[in-house]
Amino acid sequence: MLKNSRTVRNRPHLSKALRSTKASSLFAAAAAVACLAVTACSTGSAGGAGGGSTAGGATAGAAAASSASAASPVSSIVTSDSAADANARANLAQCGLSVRHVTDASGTVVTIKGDPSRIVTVQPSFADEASLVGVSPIGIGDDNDPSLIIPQIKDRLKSYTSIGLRQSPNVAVIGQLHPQLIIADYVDNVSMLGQLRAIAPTIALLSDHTDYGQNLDSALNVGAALNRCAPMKAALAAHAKVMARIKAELNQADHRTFIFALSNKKNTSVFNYQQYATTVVSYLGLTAAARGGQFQAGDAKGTSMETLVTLNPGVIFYANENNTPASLLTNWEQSPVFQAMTAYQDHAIYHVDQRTWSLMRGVTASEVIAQQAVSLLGGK
Amino acid sequence: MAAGTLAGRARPRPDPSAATRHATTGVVVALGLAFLVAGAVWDLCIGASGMSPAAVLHALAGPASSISHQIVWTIRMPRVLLAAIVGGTMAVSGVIMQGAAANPLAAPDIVGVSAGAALVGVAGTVIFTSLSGTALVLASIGGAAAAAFCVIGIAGAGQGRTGTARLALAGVTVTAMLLALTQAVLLLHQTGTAGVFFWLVGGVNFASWHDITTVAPWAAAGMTGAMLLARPLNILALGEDTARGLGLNVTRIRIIGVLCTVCLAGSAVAVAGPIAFVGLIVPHIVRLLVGTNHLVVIPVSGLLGAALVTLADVACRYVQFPFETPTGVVTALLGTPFFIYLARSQARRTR
Repeated sequence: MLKNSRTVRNRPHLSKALRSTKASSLFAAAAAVACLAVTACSTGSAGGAGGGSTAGGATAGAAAASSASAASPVSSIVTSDSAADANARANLAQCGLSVRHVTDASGTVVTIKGDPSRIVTVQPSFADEASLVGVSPIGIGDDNDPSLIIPQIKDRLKSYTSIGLRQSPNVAVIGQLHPQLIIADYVDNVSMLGQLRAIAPTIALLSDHTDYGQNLDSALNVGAALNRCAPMKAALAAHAKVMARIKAELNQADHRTFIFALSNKKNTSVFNYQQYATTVVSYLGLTAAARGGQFQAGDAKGTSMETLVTLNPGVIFYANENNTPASLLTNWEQSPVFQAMTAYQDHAIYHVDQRTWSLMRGVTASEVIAQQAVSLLGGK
Repeated sequence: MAAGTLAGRARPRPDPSAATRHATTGVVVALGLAFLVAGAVWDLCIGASGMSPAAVLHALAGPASSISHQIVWTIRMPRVLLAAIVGGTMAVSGVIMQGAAANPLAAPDIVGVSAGAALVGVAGTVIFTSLSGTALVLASIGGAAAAAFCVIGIAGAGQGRTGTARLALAGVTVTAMLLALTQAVLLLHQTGTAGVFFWLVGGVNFASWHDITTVAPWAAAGMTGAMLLARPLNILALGEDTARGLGLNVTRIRIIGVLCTVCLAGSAVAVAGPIAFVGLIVPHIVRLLVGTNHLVVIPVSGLLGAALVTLADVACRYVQFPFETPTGVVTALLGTPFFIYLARSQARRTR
């Protein structure tokens, strides 16, 4: 049974390649996956036993993310220039200049003048980080649903105009806002950067399909773009203290394996060790179980009960899509097979909020995730 | 050749002898059974925890409390059964649609039945999240029925004569509208659609006994109706005018045919998602192999459809083992080359 009832939501990953167009292209994509099947069969990668195999099932999003930058370590939080990635370091060096040449995740050098205050952010995580240094965006991507943004972030924001879907924000609305700077999501919005740059200087940063460390680098880049590097470093230093305090609340000997899963009525997906919330919980000291073998590529995998039971994590955090009370995964809890799992036996299956754990990302969301995880795990 | 066969309305061709035909049918049935059984056994042996065929048997014979028994019985067995049921029902619904509409392109995925069930399935998962699983299945079947009767209404089947092209066009139109609505639902609710895309490709990956008990009554009713339709469909295959001349109530046969399709394909899509291709191509493959007598085509299509989806389920396990890939991804990949081979060899023979 469920030990707790928090709620959250998550992102389609398998779907990314399939989402943008019509059903016909859906089947075309299906055919492409089928070709992978043939490759897998011909290389004899699948065996009877639960061993790994060689076929890579990387999704579009994950592939784009990994091409953008390698996963950064999350054992230490990026608060100093030296710990940041090369892009962020170079961008921080621009701070204080009235005209700055900021290199974004796509490798494009974007010229930004002065201190932009009228900004549009496609991801709530960028809005969170801008608001940390005193800039409240005038337009934010919230999927036309104000409740998408968690209250811990929204409380700090002034009123804003919704620019619609994060995957495909409304360019006309953005144009009417006359922004001085647009912060887009590199993975989600790469195909529309040209359109956005026709409106205002646009930097594409990492948020969706990226991990905790990469998001902290994004925060530094937001600081550099806004010409507010020192306040951003101070905000990240404060964040590091908060995270260290939360981590200290947890039993330091708790290195149990865990997974974060997302379920709805028809499907259960397990995220691999690079997923955002998973990297935050890893920072706390637990061990991400979904790594290596087939988990190495791609970030969400449709997982049967048998595969989950074989993985046998010590702790399961799960969210139901749209925060529904029931899902395929909650149905599984009636099964003796599921009940044989360590996490079930130890009452370590926790329902969490999809929005916080899977849709937000960024500085504030990571603090909320960490605090919730520690509360659920019981602290010392 | 194929033109006649593909049209689904050809008169039974003059056979060299009835004995040859029976022998061919016997071979096809035997091979279909062999593929079905082999696929089912293979499928039962695949899973993250492994198991040889002997181990599977041992697990099934072992105590119900053992984990291996539970894995085989509660996870793998319903999956294999659902693959066979869904394959069989989709294929038979294709036979009925093609026969009733006298159109070789008719299939549950073309005449709106799959799209209607899929739209309700998606809306019930993404928007009406409080719907229970069983209620969602029933609603999906309702969606299939609504779409089917919408197609019939547009085609004017209620007022007597329905041109076969009109039915197909109406089906394509309604399907396009339903697909557009489905996409709109998905686009406007991006935050809760991860698993829905998986389901939309169609698959039996997460089957449970509950799915089997849900779909079984519909499948049984649909199959019974289909067999009762076999003779009228044989008459209809002589041509609509001839059939009317022989006293057949063509409109009634078409409506019963659509009802059967709703039972068969609607319930299958509601449980397993819109697995494409099976309903369209399996009937053609079967007609190429055993002729056009619906008394034979219907059960053999059920058998080959079941074998195809079971084998597709085996194949899809290998895409990213031990994770799940929707079964629907591989059905067309397995079936299309076989169909092209059959159609070409048939064409050569008749040339």
